Amino acid sequence: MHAGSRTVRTHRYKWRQILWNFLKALPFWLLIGGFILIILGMTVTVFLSAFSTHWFGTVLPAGFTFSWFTKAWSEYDIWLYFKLSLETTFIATAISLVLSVPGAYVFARRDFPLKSFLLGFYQLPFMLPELAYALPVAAIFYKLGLAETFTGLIIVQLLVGIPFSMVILIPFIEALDPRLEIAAQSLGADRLRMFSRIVVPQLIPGITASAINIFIRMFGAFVVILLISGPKMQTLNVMVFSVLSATGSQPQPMLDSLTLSLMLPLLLFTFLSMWVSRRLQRRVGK
Amino acid sequence: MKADHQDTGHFQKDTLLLLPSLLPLLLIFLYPLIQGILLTLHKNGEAGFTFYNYIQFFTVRDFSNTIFRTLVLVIPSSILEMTLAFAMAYHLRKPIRGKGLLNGLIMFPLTLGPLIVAVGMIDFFKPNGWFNLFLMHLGILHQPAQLLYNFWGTFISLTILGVGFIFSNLVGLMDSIDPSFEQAARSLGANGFQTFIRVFYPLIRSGVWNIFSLNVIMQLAVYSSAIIVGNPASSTRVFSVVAFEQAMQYFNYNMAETIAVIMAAVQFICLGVVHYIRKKGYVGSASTFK
Repeated sequence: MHAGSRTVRTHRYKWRQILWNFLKALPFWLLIGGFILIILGMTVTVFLSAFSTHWFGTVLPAGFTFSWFTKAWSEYDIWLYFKLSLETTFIATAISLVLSVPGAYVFARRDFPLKSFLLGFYQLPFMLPELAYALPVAAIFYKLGLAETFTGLIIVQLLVGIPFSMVILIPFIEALDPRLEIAAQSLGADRLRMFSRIVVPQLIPGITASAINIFIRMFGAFVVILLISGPKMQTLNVMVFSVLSATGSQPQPMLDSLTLSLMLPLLLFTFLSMWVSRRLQRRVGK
Repeated sequence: MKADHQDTGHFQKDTLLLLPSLLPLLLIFLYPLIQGILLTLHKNGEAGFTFYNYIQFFTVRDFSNTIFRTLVLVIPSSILEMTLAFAMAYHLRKPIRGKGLLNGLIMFPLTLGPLIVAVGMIDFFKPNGWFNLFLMHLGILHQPAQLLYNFWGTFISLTILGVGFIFSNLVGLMDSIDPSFEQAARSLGANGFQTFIRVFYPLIRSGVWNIFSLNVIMQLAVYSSAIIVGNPASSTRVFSVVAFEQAMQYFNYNMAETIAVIMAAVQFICLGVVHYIRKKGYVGSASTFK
């Protein structure tokens, strides 16, 4: 009997402990749950509203239709801007990777005077307000006739692309085994061969990861492009912004359809980057 | 790498490989930046050095008020974001099922960017949107709260984006802290609160302040959410709003650049303050024994 009452007491103690832990964790879970609910709610309402016939003051829209979405695509030439965004971003990503892989290699493998100073210089564009250099870039581009051109859009994207790919690539190269390079050189490979046959193939996962990251960043680039873009030469998000900031002119489902067309590629790239990084981790784990 | 240390200080041919990435950056970043600073010292369309633009900024109320309006928006929201994101990241540090998904969802706004978040807010926080319907259904609110096209619209948008940003950085920072420090403290008899205050926080504080200042840098430049969900005519008339207005409506790049330079100066003052606070404690590695 005595033993039984003791187990009851420890049981009660255990239950109190569980209850206490639950109460302690509750505010955290409420916070996390609330935040996630707001984010999901915002995303879902954009989807629902874009395809709704009429939605006013009820929990769900009155009916669903594709007409706003198709109307948005035809009326705003979304395909044109979408293509333009993809093309400029794609070309700029390729150019910034080609330009920064050699530099990142030097940073990861060599010591030279002013190294930390130069590294700081590459990060400076992130530390200064974008406007501080975007405004003079726009002024110079208008003077040179580069503003509102395809080339101009690509050049301006490099402002995001080069520093960002440097910052991502350096740790990737540092993680490679330098002995492979030494072995290649001792077997008679010259620098170019060593670089193209040994370094670049090993770097492909790193380059893929940074390409996707830069792509997402550039796709969302805004300030400089807004300043140098014209009515015919602009990216999708600048176009969506200019429609949005001219308030009240368009019905809400139309604006949501526009936003959705901007959101879908970003969602696609995000899943792509998650997939790639998971594969990378698995490879490293091996 | 170690073998290369003997080369330190000597010019190497390899260093020339830096040029392909350095030259474009000099041309499209450093040169415009210097040009920009020179721009601020001219009156629009006139030659000759003056401080006209700076005097104008500090004497015209519409310009000088932007400093106050931006800071009132950014500093409180940054503090709130840090508190929320810290609580979430600290709680999600333990191994929990579905942790990856929760982390991904909290960082999700960061991927979407300010533009999409602003549109999502219009749908979600409007007077008859889900947020207000839900709170009125619960009886917390009797009238829909006005959360759009005013100060609070921009504040909420900044908070949602900032929590995502700070959280994503804190996850990495907290992962780098060796849990054996805390285990040691607990086994020596400290309770959870003491362990947090005496062991965990001192290890992490330097990183936390770093993330805080990065977030402030990002948010001082707030523009699209101030336009779309704020009230750009009065309460959210921040630096960028006025600078864009000067550049794109009045084509006065000189004044616009002046505003951008003052924005950079305010940013550096904020960074200096944060750095001062940060320096007053232990600054060093938190993963020594890992």
